[in-house]
Amino acid sequence: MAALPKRIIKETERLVSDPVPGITAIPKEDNLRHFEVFIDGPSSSPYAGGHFSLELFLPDDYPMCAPKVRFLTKIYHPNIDKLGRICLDVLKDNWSPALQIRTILLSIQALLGAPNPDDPLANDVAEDWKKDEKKAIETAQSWTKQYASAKLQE
Amino acid sequence: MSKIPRNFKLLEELEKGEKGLGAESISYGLTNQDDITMTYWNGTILGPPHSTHENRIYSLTIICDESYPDKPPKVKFISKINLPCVDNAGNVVVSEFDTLKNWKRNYTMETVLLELRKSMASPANKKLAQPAEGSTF
Amino acid sequence: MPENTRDVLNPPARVISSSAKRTKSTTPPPLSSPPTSYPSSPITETLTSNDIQNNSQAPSGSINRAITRNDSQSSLNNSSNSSIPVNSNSTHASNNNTNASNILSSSPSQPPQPPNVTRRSSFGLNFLSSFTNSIRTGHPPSPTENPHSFMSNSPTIANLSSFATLEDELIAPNGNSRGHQPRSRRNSSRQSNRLSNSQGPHSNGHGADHPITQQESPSSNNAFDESHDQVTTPNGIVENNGARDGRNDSISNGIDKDGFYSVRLTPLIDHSSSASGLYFSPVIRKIKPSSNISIGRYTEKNKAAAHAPQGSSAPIVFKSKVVSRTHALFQCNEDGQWFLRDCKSSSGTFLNHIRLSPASQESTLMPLIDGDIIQLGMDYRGGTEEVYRCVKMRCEFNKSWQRKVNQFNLEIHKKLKNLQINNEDNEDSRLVTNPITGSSTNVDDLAECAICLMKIEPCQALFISPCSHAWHYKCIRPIIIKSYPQFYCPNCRTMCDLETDLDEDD
Repeated sequence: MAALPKRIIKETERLVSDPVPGITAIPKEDNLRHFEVFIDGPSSSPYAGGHFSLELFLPDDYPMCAPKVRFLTKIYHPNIDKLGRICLDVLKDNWSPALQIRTILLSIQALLGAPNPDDPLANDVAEDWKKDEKKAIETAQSWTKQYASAKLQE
Repeated sequence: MSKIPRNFKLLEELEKGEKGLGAESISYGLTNQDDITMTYWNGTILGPPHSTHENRIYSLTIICDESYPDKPPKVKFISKINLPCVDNAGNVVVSEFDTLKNWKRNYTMETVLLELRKSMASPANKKLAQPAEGSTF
Repeated sequence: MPENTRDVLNPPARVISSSAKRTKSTTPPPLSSPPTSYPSSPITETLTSNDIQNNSQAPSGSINRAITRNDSQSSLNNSSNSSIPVNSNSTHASNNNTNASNILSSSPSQPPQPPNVTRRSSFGLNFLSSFTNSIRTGHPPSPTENPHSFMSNSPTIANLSSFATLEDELIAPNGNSRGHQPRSRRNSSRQSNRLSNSQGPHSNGHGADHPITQQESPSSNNAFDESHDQVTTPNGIVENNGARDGRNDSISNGIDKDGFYSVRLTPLIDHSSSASGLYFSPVIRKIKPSSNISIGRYTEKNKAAAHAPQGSSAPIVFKSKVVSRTHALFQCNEDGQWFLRDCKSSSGTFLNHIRLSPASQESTLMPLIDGDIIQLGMDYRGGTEEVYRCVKMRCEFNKSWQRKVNQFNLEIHKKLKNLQINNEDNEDSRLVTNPITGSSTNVDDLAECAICLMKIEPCQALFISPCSHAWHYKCIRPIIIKSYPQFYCPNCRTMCDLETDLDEDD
């Protein structure tokens, strides 16, 4: 494997030395471009109390292209599909090399706090959300309890 | 080149399959859309022309376990087929099929399906008598 | 500017001409060497700290500043002009140069310079530094001066060989002190020769040409020093040279700590021409004094040399079929003067476009100076592939390419930072509206490149966008070229047009 670019080393170091509250990202031993990520659901959202597991991968041309991120924990969210794929502009067309792992994970955390059913990835969830937001939020809460409870993972 | 992890490689393959960006003569997708582990896949091969497979559609299952793509996937025909590399139960025999035997990490499910189709069209195999269309293992 | 300050102003040429060197695509190409091509695109797009100065201020302003700063230094030297040199090597240096060139220019017919001069006058940096110098002194460069001196001095094989013989003789009997001396003499005498050739010395001529002597003859003071200090070991030279130029000792001392002299070869690439030479990554080699390094074709046998680390003493090899297996060699004498010899190559070795010897004949040793252009072989017309291309390269010697941070760089860098901070203040409101990118843009981050996350420091090639964000040029280049001339700032997402007319009124 080619040597790890300095930028990735720097980012990794900073994630450890100056962690973001509610977010952890640790590179895997066998592949330092592959991160194990945990994001806590924002307190004011239906995902509050949830401890979500994700995986993140930095492709060869990172930072010229976005990191690849997906949820491993099942989540009921209009912008996250059944396979954990995330619909977020900064992960696609709006990626900028000035963004970092840290900022991307913050954006994902922000997305949990502000679901956007008008730009859906998971169509069925988005429809439910638009039809009956209250019920959708309840479902999101119960999924969080069922799949993303911190206790469950320990 | 850095090693792309299994899940992200499978997501790439899935996207290619979903968008129909690959070859037209084959197709593949997740058996179950909820399968967050992305282990079980369905594939189809359109029988190559000028062979006994012409106009037939063959269904297969592909299993990409945790060792994928370091190790080849397990490939099995659902539709009955008479091919040297396929055993009596429909399994594609690794030692008989070069793509699986000499597996490389950058191979994909698409590679496997296209190579199987090529094998079906090879001079040695294209005239082989085939079981009735629509029968399954 | 008073006439008598001109000599005082000469020493700063190091600063001036180094920035001129890098902006040279904006100055007229050296008329004297039409086939010489400068790699234009990377340079024009690249902003170095020095250039930023030039761009952000009126050119005269920047130059004056540089002069002012160096004035004190040089007047120091001048003040001790008449005193007997004791410890101050830097005093020796500038005095020595000034005196030497004064003498030579006043008596241009003195032997042994004429043959030496001819070869040198075709070299482009010379023009550039006289160009900057004339800007500085407020006189337009004489339009005829440079081409003229070149034309009339056009080297021929005939006088070249006489020159070479002479040079050999010079070196052979007394290599130690002579070896480097010709260099300074050559430079200064070149200038005197030019003067005599340009029909009536231009009032500016002397001042204009002098800097090159100062800049390119770091060893001239060695000869001088030796007579006092009797230092002949390579290490002694290091110290003397270092002392001469206290400001940045590693630039001109040539020899490094472990006693090696160095050469760097940079491909001469012209993307706008199909006649571009073979591309290769710049090569740096180091050898001990009085040794050789061979130049030849890449073969299976010398495979290792192709991958030798920078700064090794491995042979220099090129993957070109027009290069002979043993094509030429570099030689370095005790004093760090470098030479080139064609080793019976079949397709020729060219030094500044002049072929050194006919096919399969060995040439004499030719002395080299910084900026010399060497070409190995000629393009083979039977094929268009890369391997049929000749090798064209520019040489630099004894670490002259290493630029250390000086006051000038630091000041410019400081200004650049201020420029950014001021701009950020103005843009703050806009940044806040974009919480995602805004989080990565705060004043703390200004010191680092948002792409590689490394610090932005003096002497690095930078790109500054119209929105005043800065990155290492190397880091931002893929983004610039992807959508040029549109530029989408990765930091603040401003869309900029890099081809916008540069109106001063705006």
